[in-house]
Amino acid sequence: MKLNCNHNVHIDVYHRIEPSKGREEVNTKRVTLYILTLVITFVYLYMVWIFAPPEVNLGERIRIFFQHVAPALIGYLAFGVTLVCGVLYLWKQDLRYDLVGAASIKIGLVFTTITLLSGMIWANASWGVYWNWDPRETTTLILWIAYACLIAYRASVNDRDVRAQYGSIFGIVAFPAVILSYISIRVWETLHPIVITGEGLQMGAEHGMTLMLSLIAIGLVYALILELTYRIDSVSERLMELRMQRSE
Amino acid sequence: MVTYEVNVMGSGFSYALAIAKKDLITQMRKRFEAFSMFLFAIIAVFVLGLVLFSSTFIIADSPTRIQVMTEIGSGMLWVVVFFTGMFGFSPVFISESETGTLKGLSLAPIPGWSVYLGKVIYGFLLMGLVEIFLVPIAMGLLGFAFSPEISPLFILITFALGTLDLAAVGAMASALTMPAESKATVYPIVYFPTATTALILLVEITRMLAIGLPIIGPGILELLILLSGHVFAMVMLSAAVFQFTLTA
Amino acid sequence: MVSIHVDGLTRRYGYRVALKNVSFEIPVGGVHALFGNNGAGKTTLLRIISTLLQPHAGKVEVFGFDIEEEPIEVRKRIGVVGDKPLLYGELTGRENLKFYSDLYDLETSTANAIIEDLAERFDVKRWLDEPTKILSTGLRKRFDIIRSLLHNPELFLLDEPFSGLDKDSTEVFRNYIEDKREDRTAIVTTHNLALGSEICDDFITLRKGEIVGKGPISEFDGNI
Repeated sequence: MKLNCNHNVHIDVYHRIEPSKGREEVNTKRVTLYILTLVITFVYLYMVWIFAPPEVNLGERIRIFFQHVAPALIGYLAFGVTLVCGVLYLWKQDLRYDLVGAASIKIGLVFTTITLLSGMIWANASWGVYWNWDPRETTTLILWIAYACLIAYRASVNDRDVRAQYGSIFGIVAFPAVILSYISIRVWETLHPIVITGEGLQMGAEHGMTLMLSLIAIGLVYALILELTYRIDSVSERLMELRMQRSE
Repeated sequence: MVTYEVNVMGSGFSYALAIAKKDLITQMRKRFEAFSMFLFAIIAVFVLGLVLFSSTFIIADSPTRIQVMTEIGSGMLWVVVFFTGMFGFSPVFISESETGTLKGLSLAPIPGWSVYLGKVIYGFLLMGLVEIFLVPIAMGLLGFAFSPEISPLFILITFALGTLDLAAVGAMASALTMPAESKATVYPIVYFPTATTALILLVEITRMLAIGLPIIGPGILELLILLSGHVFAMVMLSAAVFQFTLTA
Repeated sequence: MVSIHVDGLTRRYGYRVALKNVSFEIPVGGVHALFGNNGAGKTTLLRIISTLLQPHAGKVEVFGFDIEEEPIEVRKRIGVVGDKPLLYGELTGRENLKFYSDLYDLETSTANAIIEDLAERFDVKRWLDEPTKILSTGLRKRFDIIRSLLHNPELFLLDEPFSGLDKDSTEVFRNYIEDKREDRTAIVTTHNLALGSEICDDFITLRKGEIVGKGPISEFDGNI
């Protein structure tokens, strides 16, 4: 009883992470998000594999295009979320931002991996080699390595607050790698097609729609995994906190 | 108001210079860091030159060899500088944090960015000093020269920007390594991914300078601008968040 | 007029709370003791007041300047001495002090005069031009104290200032604090309760991050 009483005070005063107490009510918002994601993901599969017509130059290879571009952009978004969470943590010193930022790195890394792999499959289908050291490939690989190093770095710092503080700083200074990966094809001469230019999307209406929907679908998947990871991480943080309180 | 801002900027720079001067004097009295950096660089150039020379033995009599040595050797030079940076830049904050003197800098009534900038200036001068001796030796051993059609000004600008970029990234990496468990393993995973961007740009630019591509036109100038952008982004971002490494 | 105003200050390290809702005020002038066992939160408190650590909740003001909003104004007014001398071993005592006076924006001539004067007072004139790494612990400590006094701070934050200080230096330093006690404020943490009781006017006792006692030093019962 005393313990309970203690950490209630603790939470109020110290802004600690507070996962929901006791048995969870069925959260309608969350269930709606899950169902929406499920439905849109099926529409996404339909549009990518059946709805989108073969393209003039790419033919059937257009299908991998959607599964290459959408994860790439959502991966950038994920690292952008890490950047924003880093700034917010430094400003507010609230560990919740650090948890979201750290979760976003892992998911961004998964999406960047998908981007690299689908890009390799596409490259092999188009040019007969998996890897060209093309500027976009190179800068995206650097991006992948940078954020993988960020995860390794965070693991090397023991103190929880210091890890959050320095991890946030690293998450901010790593971001130019994202910008470089994004602008690389505009600067170097490259094999990579430029899809989004100043004049809008350079593609037909059906393909444009399919790309938009892939972005929404993968964006929703990102949001869903982020939310789940955040909840799991905050529970394990809380568990650690309780264990340390008991040892005192 | 404006003059006040200028004064703050001005005195911020003068603190940075005081810190850089203090570090240079300390370095000149210790000597071994600069000297061991130089020795490491020479060993690396020696090994790479040997491999490069013996692996092009098969085309020893053809002019292709000179071309190959020029293209590869000029890139190798930056690989050597990149790895030498590990020795030069890693101690800039780690050593002060180990002796405790960083607390003296944190307690001084100066903005956090002055401390960072002072260390960047120091790292730049230290590496520049090593490069003055290293570059001629590397050109000899790696068998390349800069095209006589290229103005030495551009070569100088490239080296200055490259060294500044590596110093900016290296100083931040050193600051980020301070709280980590095993600093010797963590420093590379912070420094390498953030410095690789500069490395690929520098290898590309230096290769173009060595084979004598025109400055104006697509190529060198665009990459130089991109490199300047990267230097600017890294310095500004790091300077902006640096105070948070001092008040963890 | 108060020198330090602390209200609802909270700081944790990882999952452990180092300071729990600490509030107090310290007037201008006088020597104030901060007692407590290891881990009671003394050093954390001093680190926060000296702007080296951010609070997680609460407000701290030094001479009316918020430590989070205007840390530079706070740093101009404090002199901090900790357990480790903040000196560069390769540099001489004079070079160390000149480097720090550059950071505190002192004019060269003023800085030279101050350094000479303080060196005289702390009896380190003979050692000014030796690299500090060859000096004894006591001499390094004296140089460190001089470093903290260069900018004539209004508030001294002294974390175990007498540890590693020989008898003579302790006496010199004590006299310096005594001289200034009218218009300068000092906060001293010390294990040496006898010495603390001798030089301090009042005390605050911390236990497990909470204030468990405060008052004039005459009321201090020796219980930490």
